Amino acid sequence: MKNDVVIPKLGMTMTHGKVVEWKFNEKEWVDEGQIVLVIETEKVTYDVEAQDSGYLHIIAAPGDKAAVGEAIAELYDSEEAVAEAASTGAAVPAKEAVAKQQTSPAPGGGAASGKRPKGVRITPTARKLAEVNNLEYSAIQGSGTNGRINRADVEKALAAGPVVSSATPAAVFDGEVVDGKRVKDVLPLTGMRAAVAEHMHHSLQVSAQLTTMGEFDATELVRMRKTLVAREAMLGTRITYTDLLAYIVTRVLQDVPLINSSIVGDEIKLWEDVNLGVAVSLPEEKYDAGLIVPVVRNAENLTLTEFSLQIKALRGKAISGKLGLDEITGGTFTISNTGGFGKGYSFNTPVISQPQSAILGVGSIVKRPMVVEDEIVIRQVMNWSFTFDHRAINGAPVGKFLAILNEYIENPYLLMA
Amino acid sequence: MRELMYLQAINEAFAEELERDEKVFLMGEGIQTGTFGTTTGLVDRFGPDRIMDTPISETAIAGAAVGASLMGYRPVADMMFSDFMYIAADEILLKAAQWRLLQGGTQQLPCVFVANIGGYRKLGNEHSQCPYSMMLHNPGLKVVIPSTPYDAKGLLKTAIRDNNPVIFLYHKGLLPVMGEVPEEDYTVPFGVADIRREGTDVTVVATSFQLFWAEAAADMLKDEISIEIIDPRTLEPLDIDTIMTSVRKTGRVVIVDEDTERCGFAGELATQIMERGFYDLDAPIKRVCAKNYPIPGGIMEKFVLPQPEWVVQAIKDVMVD
Amino acid sequence: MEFGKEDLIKLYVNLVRTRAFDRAAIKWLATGKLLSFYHPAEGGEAPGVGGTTFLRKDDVISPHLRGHGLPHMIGKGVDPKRYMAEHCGKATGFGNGLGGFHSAMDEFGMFGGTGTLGSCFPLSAGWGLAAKKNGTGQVVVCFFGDGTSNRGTWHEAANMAAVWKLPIVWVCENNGVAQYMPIQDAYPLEDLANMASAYGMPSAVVDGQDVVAVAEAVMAAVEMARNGDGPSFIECKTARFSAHGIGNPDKLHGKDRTTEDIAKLRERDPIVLFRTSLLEKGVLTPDDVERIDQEAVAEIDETEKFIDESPFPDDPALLDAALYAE
Repeated sequence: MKNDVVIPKLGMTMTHGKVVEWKFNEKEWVDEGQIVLVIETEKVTYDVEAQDSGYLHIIAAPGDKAAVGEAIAELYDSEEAVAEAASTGAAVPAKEAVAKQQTSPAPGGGAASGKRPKGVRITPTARKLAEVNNLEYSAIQGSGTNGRINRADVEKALAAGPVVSSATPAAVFDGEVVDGKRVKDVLPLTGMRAAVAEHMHHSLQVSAQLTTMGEFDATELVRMRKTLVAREAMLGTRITYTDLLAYIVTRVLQDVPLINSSIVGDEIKLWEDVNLGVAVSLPEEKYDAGLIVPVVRNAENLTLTEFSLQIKALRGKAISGKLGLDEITGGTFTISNTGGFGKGYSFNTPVISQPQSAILGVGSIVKRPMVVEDEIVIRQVMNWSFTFDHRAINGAPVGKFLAILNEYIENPYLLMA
Repeated sequence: MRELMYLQAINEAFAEELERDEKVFLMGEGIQTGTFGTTTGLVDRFGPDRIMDTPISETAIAGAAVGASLMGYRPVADMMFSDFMYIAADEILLKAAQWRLLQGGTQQLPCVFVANIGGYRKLGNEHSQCPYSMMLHNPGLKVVIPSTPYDAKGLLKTAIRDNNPVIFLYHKGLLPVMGEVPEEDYTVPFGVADIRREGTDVTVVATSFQLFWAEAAADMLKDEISIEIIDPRTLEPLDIDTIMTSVRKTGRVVIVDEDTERCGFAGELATQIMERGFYDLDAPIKRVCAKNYPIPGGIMEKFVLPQPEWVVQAIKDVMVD
Repeated sequence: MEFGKEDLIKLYVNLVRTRAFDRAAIKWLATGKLLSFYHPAEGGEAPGVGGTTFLRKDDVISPHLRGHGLPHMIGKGVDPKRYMAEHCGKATGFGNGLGGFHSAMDEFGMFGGTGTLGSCFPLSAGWGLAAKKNGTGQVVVCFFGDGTSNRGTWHEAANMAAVWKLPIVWVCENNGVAQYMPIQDAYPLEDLANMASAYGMPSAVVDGQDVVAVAEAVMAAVEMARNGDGPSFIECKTARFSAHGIGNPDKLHGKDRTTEDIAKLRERDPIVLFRTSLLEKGVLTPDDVERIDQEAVAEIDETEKFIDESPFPDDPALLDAALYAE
């Protein structure tokens, strides 16, 4: 036996009510006529009386909104029935129910409507025709206004065959098996993903990359950053570890210029300009997040706050997809801070962005026991991984680079010097 | 087959229905004479009690039609110019249209409001309107706008026999148009569109007099574009199925309608097409309508009322898009 | 028309029933049973009751807004149960719960009320036209207030009715005030009956608080119309005891009507006047009066029970069925 507790209609215009507070706990006995909860409308808060008696099973939590007449709790005649209702999840919390409704694809849009490539100009009927035929249409040259793909374009592409298996057909999601393995989902290797794949592979093919790893004692750097963050208003920007690292690395690159070089033809060019690439991870989409490396030009001329502002601006542009070509090319060295990926992401072997000669990766800063003056103490430790092109650089300059870098990080006050 | 003028076809429909059913009678200003010829001569055959000349009293004519229909008669209120229907808005839009539902569907109001529509006569804003969006906006009315003599006769007979209030709007520009009209009794059902020309590239839905512009445009473009022309004939009930079948074939739509563009029938139809067939569209829908100005008197009306070249341009536009 | 004892008692009973339903409507509006709004008839019952009680069943009436037509319906012989059920939104109402206070009872010659005042005139012209065409002596009696007479539709319809000699009796219930507007500021002459002379219609001004005077005048006009002599106009000088509508302020030009004003109007309560006269003449005894009151109370109870037991309509398919006829 089950009775619903519903949002009552309190006025001509009321459509929804918000749960403010439950006066009883889950599974508690409620008598008919007792105030069981308080709801809020645009206009009033209102005590809702139970219309029946029973053990309470709450569906809508405080803060949840529900439509007038919608069940926000149930009253059962036994505690077991409540437990069963709760465990089977027969009642879906209102919030999730709403969210589910909103994400369901629009009728008529086909099963693939949520997985369409963005930014492709195509007419509705052309898109439908392409999807029905599993045609990957993003590469079609449209003949309509601004390159819009129309039905005739798709028909032409279909006639030209062969049909390329689309990343988006509904059939893929329903039990595709490749080499005896069941496919969970398929991502198109296009756009940025294709570019990254191509670049990484190319980089490893054309250079002799060697990675060395270690750790810095970043205790002072952490302290310094705290101070800088506390002065955010004064500086006009919130200084990040990436900012600090970029600033320090730029200094060290000028001390050890071979690291800031490229092989061009049969020469190694040592660059006067320090154009520092800073890897930016884009907001997470399905399964993954995009990667892009905007370049801070002539970093050697920048103060720490200028660095910070520039990196922020570039990151913003990267996320909104507005980076210009000159903002992602021409780098001479790259840093990649993977601290944002969490503590599980420690040492790695960063891949050089061609045609540069080296890349520095750092991980998150964590507290670790360290031996300092024969005592075991707790220090803030930053892992680093440094990949260099052994064709251009030998071990000695790398050792020098890392030693100076270590000095600055352990004693950032040297930056004053 | 014999040919009749559009106005003769209307006149003949009246005569046949007056003959067929003694409950049918006509009233309106000067209808015994017949300002546009649509009722001329009927009084000689049916007498002044059934072909009733009225004072200039639009609200009384329309209200009396509603009242008499409630008592079992089949009055036809000739409102002369459709512009004059604004005067009787209460009687037509609130009474005729909505009375039945407010009485729980217990009654019938078999009345017809007949009036002419349309511009291109340099008559200005109060003798040139196509005010059917107003009628469509008030649920309960059926709206008929024939474009040929055949349809005018067949649809008017259906209108008089219908047990609901019907707005029958004939276009001034069509009155002298000749067309085939069979001698034997026939009616044209409501809610059945007429495919006037078959084509595969673009669907042109045109109403009433605008069918002329649509056909002229199709003739001009016939070597480059295959145009399907549809005349809905009745706007309520609307044969959306025939239109959608065409849209699914062509993916491109131009709607040509003489009513003012804003909030007009063309906008309504465009929305219905979008709702039912967004995924069948290959280009944005284009409307060719009267521009959003009062219809000027004199030659300036050519800048407001739809012109054939506007239709040609719109068809080209949807083909390029 | 000569009224016998039974006729007089019938008039009195209809007045008492009208007052009872009027009060019930006010009460049910307050308790939420009666939907929408209500414009009481109190003080102005006599023209409606007097003008309808002796009509033929197939005569057509267009009721006035006061009392939402209750005086006219009761006089015409309609059982108010289904009208009140409709007003309460019930599926058992005359309009199946779709009409509210607009209600039609075709078999009693009442094809429905209107919300836009003054649309009664052209519609009555249509009913009159149909009645004339029917050729059975059927008459239309159109009731309207002094305020409604200000509409332009009056001119068109009165003119058409006069020109075509339609069998229509125009009954103006002049209670002196249109919502908040005193009639002396809305019409330049003393009597609205003057409006008839422009169309060559015979007219009469009667004491609208004297139900017998109203009945005599209206029925004389009805006989003329039945005989094919065309329309005529009866002005009944009556009163409105309450505010225009329940919940409205009782004002004229923004100023309250005073208790003295109202008390003066109440001195000429049509029911009290008629009762006193009937008791004096010995047509009624005090016992009769008591019994008639009790019967009215019983009828209200029965109506309330009917309404309470009636369901609300809740099937949207009703809308489709009601939109267009087959």
